Amino acid sequence: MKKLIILLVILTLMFGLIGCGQKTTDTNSKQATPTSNTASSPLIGSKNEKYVMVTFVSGIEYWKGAFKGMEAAAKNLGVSVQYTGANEYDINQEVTVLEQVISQKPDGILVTAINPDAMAVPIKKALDAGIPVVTFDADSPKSGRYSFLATSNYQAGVTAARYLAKLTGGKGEVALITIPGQLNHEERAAGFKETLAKEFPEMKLVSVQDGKSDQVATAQAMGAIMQTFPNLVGVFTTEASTGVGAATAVKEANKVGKVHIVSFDTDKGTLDNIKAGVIDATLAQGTWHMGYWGMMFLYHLKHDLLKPIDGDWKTAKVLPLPPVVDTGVTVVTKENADFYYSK
Amino acid sequence: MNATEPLMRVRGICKQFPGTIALDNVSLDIWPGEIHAICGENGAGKSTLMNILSGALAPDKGEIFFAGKPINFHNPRDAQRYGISIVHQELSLCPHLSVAENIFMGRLPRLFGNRIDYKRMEEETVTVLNRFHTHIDPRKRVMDLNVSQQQLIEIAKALTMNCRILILDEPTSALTESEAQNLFVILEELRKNGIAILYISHRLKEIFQISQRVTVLRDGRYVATRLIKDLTPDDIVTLMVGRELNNIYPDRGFPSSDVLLEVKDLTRAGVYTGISFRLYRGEILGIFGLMGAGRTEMARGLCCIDVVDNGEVFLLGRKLSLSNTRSAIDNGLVYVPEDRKNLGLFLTMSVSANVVAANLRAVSYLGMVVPENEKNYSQEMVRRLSVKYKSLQQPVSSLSGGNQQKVLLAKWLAVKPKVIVLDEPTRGVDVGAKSEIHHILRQMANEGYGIIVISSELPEILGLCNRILVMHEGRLVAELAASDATEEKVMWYASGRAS
Amino acid sequence: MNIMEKSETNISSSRKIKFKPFKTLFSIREASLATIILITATAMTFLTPGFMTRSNILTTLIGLSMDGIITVAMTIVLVMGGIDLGVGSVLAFASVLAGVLAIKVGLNIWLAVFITLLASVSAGSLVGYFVTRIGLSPFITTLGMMSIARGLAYVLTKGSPLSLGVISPAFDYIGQGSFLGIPNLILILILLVLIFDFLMRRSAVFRQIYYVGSNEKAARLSGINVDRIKFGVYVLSALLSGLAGILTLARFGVATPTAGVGAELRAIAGAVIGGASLSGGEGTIIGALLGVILVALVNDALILLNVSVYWQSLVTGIVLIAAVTIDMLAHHRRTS
Repeated sequence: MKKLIILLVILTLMFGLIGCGQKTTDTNSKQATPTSNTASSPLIGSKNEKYVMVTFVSGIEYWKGAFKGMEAAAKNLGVSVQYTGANEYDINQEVTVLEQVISQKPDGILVTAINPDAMAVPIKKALDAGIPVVTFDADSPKSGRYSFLATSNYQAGVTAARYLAKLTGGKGEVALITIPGQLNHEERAAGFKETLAKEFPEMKLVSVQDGKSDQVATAQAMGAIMQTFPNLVGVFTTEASTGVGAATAVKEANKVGKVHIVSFDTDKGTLDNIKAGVIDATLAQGTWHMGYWGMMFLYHLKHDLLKPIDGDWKTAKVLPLPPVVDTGVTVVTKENADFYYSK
Repeated sequence: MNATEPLMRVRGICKQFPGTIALDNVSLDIWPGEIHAICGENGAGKSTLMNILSGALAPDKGEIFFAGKPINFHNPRDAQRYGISIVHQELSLCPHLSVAENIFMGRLPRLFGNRIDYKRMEEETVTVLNRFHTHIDPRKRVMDLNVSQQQLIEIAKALTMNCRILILDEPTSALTESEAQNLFVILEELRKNGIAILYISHRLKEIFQISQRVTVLRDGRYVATRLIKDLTPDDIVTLMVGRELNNIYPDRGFPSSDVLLEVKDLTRAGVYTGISFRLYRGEILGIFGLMGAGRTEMARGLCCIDVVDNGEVFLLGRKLSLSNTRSAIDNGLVYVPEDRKNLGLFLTMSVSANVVAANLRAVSYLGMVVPENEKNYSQEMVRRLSVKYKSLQQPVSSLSGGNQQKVLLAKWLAVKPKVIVLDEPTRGVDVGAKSEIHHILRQMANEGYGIIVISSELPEILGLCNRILVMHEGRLVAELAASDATEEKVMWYASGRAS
Repeated sequence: MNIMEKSETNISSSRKIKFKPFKTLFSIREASLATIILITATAMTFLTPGFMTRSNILTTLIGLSMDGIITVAMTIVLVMGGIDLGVGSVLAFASVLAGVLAIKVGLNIWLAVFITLLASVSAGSLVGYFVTRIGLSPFITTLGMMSIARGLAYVLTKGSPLSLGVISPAFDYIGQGSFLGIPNLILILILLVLIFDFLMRRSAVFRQIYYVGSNEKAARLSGINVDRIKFGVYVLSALLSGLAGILTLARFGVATPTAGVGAELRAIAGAVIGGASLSGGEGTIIGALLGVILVALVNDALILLNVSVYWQSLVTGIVLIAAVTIDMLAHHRRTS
């Protein structure tokens, strides 16, 4: 009887040790990743770790670029990622999806906020549950998220204004088509408007319209603008579908080359229009970077690899990460458009 | 008639519908160049026979010969190809399309490929309309024409299809006197050109004016075919109704001299005029009339469903304001419609829901329906009316016609009315349920309910009612006591003989 | 009843065949929906660990609560034989109006709520007037209201969402708090469902809605005031939509003019899955709630199972067609 007990105890201890050692082994790994131990790099994760990207209007092409970046980082780190989001442009939907994701207890969440205040509550919930959260593209500043990666929308607007001025020779009537009410669009618009006012006094902003994120609505609005202001020389559209809609209207009005278009983002429709010469240029955001570095940030937070000060940054109430990261903007024209087609 | 053999022969036609035998061994000959009238009461089988001849229905038994050859129509198109066209009482034109498009419906002339040859269409339309000495613009929309013009278009349509037999179903019911005369001129011309015309009507005056021969149907059976010149109108009436009353009706009850309902001079312009009568407690009052007599319209006006231009109604001595249906119902004057499916029953709802529909108050407490009360109430009602059903919750659409009618009756009984006007209460109801309903009505009359029955069935009217009002073209033309009435007499008045 | 108390007739004695209908509390459609939901939930529990957690269940239920209230309204309208395409827009309008009144105009939040409810009633009255007095079709009228209400929401906010901040802790509590561990929004939804389900089954006035939807002409002839019923139902629908809008504001603290887009179609789907018919006269509130829950459940499953986002759009449609087809086939067998 005694022997049996001793045997059982030894076996239990053995299994226990092996079990502990096995904690970070993956079962179906493509890469030859051995169990983690402090001797090798901490940047080697396990496929059991899951990081989730949550978006809204989840089906559009724009997020693909960001997710590609996230996937690239995940590959380098050896972890898994998932893409999800609200189908429609609906606060209730995105909040619900985020909360459902939280209940799955992922290792980190990279989220873009349809509305800063509405999303603050669920983001806080995630943080309270110990899940690291980083926002990208559209921020929720009051939520307590660790960092926010985006192209500075204001700077993008500034760049757009300057490029449009170059195209129109610094003078003439121009228009702006944007999505009022969305923070990022408002900032782009602000950058555009203020740069025009400051640096190009001979250019006049004659109309600001709502593109409603819809090609058809934008085409109509653009058509109306060209009717009302027949001397229009240029337009800045703060969103891809808006740009495509404006391009259609300009084509139909036979004013290609007379009305210059500077648009935003690099979806296929926009790129095609650039190569066809209808859209003069578009501003590419660093979406890939948002995904890549966002993933990196989450990993570092999850594995507690950040040491900005000696000691625990949590108790010291020091920010572990740069709070805002500008992923920059590139002007895409006919010359470099080919590079931006997603494969 | 100079042809040697009939254009069309019909032998031994039988047709049955669920619950009724519409035609029983009917045979008929149709010769070219004659106007051949078809007579019979409602339900005699005239429409069914015409539908068979024009290809809309297939007979269960029997043969049809055209120009000596046996034929089988599968659909109206087949019949049209042989030259048989029918103009129904409810015209089948497309109101939003033009005259020309209607005439050439389904056979639009084409101009290579799929293009419509409008020019040719209009030219041919004008040609055909000229035969009627009328100048209707072929491009005009049909809904902008009046009824007699529309009817003309239908006939013209038939003519463009090489019509050899033209069937007209009650063609003058919607026409004025002069329009009817115009029609007769046209028909006579067609007849002279060798076209055979089958003319269904119950208007004896017309039949005697235009037709050469008449065939009488009764209860789905062929009675006789005679030359018009050998008959008097009374003869025809006799042929139409001669039968024995072999249904058993309840006794006549106990009519009293208490006046329940008094109607004075009820009028609606163009529909009915000067209707005045009294309803006594204990009697069943019948209203008889042929199609177009205005009975239903008058009843609806009486019960405040439709607008009335003139007249007064007194219920138990109190004058009713004829303004809205709910107040009429609340006062105890109730109308049970003829079209029970569309106007009376809630087909998707349960039997019990239907029974309590007009009187939810009786089964509710503080505005809430008490399920126990509803169940008991409807259970009691359906028991008393001997409704055959499986469950009170079953949808009423799954009951037979007779039982549906009883449920409808139950609904109205539930409001405890003083006078009930029933419009064709036993139409489409099998013989057994019919008799039950008759007995129920007599019972109700005996208990003091005022019962008015509108019916097109002579035996029913004569067997059930104490007194009979006869309407003809919007007027009350006779008031007969049951003891004085015979089928011939009633039919005589209903056919306008008194005018 | 005095008819035939002295049965002195020779009517054949009552030959009715009666068998006991199975005495379930719910109709067949509701029972089968509940079963499907249970099966799906059980399957999900085994497939993903995250499903049967308190937080996931509560999240899903809260997520469907606004759609649920709108579906209650839509069910009643469908039973009446009508349709209300404006529910989502009235929700947005109410949410925005209450927000604007509280923030920009500075009114007390409860006063703002009251005024908003009045405004919703007015919107419903407008629809009711055009449908009953002028005789426009409900489809066209509510389609118009859909644009008007949404447009007003945009005008009031000039397109940008309005942030309430912390206007009133009590107001926020309603939208974000819980009572006895259950979030208030879910409690409110359950309360409304119970109340209206009871009314639809038992109230004499609400019963008339079924009659009107089943056969409007017969209802008129039976003395039912059809116009009054129609008017009342459209007002009720707008009132419930307005309520949903106010609760949305309470929940998120933000009034967006884009709220509730597409809600009307989701509501119709939920109601029809739950047994309502587009031709009127049929449908129950409990059934509609089950319909909404089923769709939300399946959507949740897709997310937890990491199914591609593109499939999520198909879900509502597939569930709808499946539910209606199954019911039609079952119906066919029963009546034949």
